[in-house]
Amino acid sequence: LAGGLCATGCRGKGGGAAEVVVYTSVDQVYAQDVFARFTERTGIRVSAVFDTEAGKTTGLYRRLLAERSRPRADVFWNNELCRTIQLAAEGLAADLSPLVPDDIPRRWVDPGGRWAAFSLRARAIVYNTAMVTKESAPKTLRELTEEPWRGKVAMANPLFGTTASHVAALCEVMGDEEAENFLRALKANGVRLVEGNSVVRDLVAHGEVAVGLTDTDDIFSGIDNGSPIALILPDQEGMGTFVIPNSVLLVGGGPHPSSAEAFVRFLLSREVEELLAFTRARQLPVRADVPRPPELAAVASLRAMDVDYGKVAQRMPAVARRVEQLLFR
Amino acid sequence: LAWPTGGKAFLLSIGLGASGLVLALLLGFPVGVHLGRRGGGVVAALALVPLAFPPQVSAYVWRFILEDTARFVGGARASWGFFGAAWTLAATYWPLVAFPLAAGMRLRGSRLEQELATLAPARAVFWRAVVPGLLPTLVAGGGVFFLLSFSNFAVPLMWNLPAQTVAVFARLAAFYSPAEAAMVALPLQVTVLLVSGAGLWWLSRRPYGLDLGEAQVAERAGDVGGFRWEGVATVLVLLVTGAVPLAALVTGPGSLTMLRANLLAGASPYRWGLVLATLGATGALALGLVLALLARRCGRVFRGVVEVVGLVALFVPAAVVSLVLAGALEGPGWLSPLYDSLGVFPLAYGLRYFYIPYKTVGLVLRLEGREHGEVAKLLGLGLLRRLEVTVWGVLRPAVAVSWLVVFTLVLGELEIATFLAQPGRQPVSVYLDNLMHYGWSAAVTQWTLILVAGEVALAWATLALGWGQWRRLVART
Repeated sequence: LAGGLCATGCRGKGGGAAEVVVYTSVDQVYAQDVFARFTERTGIRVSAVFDTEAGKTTGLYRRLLAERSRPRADVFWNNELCRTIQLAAEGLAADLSPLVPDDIPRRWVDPGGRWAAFSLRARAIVYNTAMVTKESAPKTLRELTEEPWRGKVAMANPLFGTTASHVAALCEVMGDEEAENFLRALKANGVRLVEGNSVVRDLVAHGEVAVGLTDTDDIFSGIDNGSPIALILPDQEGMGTFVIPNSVLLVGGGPHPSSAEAFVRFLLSREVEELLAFTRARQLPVRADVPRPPELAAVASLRAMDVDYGKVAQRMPAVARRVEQLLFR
Repeated sequence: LAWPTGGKAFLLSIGLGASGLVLALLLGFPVGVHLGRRGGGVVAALALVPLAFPPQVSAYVWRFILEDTARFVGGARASWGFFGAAWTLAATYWPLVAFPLAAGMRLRGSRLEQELATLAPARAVFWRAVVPGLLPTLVAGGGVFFLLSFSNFAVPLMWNLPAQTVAVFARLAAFYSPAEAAMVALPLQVTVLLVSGAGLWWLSRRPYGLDLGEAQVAERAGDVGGFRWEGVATVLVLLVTGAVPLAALVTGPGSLTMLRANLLAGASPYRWGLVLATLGATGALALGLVLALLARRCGRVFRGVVEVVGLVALFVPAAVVSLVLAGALEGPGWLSPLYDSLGVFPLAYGLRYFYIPYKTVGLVLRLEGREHGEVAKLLGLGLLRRLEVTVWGVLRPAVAVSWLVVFTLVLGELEIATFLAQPGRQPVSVYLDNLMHYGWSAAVTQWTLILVAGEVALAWATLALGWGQWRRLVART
């Protein structure tokens, strides 16, 4: 049966110029709008492979590696940067530097042209407005380890997703010893570790904990749903807030090179940044002059953590091992 | 949050499977007895409703019902955790216990009840004579339930339980290491695999003692009149596990608005979900059928190997199966077209689930005496005609049921779909999972309702086809 289907032409779509294959870990509800707009503009159809929320980019990362000898994907659009850098380091990327617009800040473009980044989320402190006032809410990550917040803080499992990148970034900025002390102090202060960032938001919204550490897109969607929550961008007076850009990688040897280039150009355009800014996720454009909703005005001037994402990506496997030992053993 | 270490994750999965099994037996036993005694297409169709829920949606609905009801009553959000997951598995998969039991009851139990009616009170006959005779069907149905619960990914994930399947995914997500993921609890898993294999081997040596003559008697005995306890219990089970989640969906936000828009938006995932499920079920059936026919002619060694491979395929987390398959197909260039084609799905799901049709068809083949073939030969029938009136006629209900069960499982499957779905071919299970990330939405409720309705209709038609053929065969005999 399998051989018959294979032989009779029930194959994956490929070969045609009017198609681009995109592997994406971006939430489907947002990515679909971008794909539809791209098809509308260019007539090129997007065949997407989405990861599951449970997979946290795992499925796509492994698929891209498994398919490296005969790539099926043209473009990898990731909702964060570190795994993209890891894939680039594995030699999967083609040079996309000619496709990157000049108005994207150079900080968000790989000097080697293997990836580019755009539209940011940030790691923020979420608090329940019925339990905590804006004045008394913690303004730094270190405050989460202090007595007033004992047993009142939630955070996603730091082995996965954006929390894993955040912890690796802390190790890079603070130094390993200090970052480990911070994690130990969090644990000693009774931090509640849960399986995802949306769960952190829900726990805070339900009043089960007073504050949490999560992503801005989760917080904004909670605010949209009417939850009594608000956000603080931590460490604006100190090391800055860790930000998480979308990233794109042009897969070397992909089946539709010209369509892929068109898609990367479109993805890095002002139009897409504006589109993502007005979704429920409220992603912050990296270009200062792209229109954005009023609620992003407050975070537009944020002081972003000054960290080398390449080094963060390199550190992640070792940091994950250390976190496992510190928090779970 | 508990980080799922190998041993703990494995034990948690065993506990979930075992606790779910106890609950599933409680739910499935009365319905199985009722179906066996009275038959009834309506009850059979309603009994398929829970099974038609994709596991992740079922977990989502039950989590909403249990946690928010508790919060409403008690003022605090209760954490049901382990019980919630075990209950979800039982409330979704109990028909897997009920239907084999119904088959056993129909073929053997009703006849015994009729024959012993004058010798002892009905209750004593039922518990002391009928139920012990149904043990093989209970073990078979319960065994399939346990294996599917043990290897389920979506339910423990939705209930935040670090079960083994979640542990595998967690290690992949944290360390991106398939080898480390595959090694989670492997030694213990092998141990349980060996114990399960020994149990099934023992079961295979138990006499079933069923033949078409008894089935004919059972057909008549099936029309037992009067009020029985299992009728009330059946209604309760159908209400709690079918009507309650359906009601929760129907009353969910926006479930009856924007139907057309969501229908169009989700048309592609639905189409590919159906294609994958059809190909997967057909692949599993084809493989199971061929192996069952071969096992009839081959020796114990062959049957033992098939048993072990089938159990391993059901037992090992699907993420590992997918990665191994992807690696194998991506290796040599000549296999690469298979990886790119729809052919990968009958292969992947066939390997994963062939054990179900293999056992179902194998059981029926054991019941089908060779004398029927001899008689047909003496009557001068040709080979094809002989196969049609003997083997195929007997096999058809088993073929229909096992195809349907695998179809249902594939439609809700998440792991293989995540790793192997091709560009532009996202199936409905992945689509629903991603939608649920944003909570209880109109799209989730609508898609699930359509899925459940469509699947129950398909299931009813398939069972009617299979069962109708069975009736015609009995009449002809």
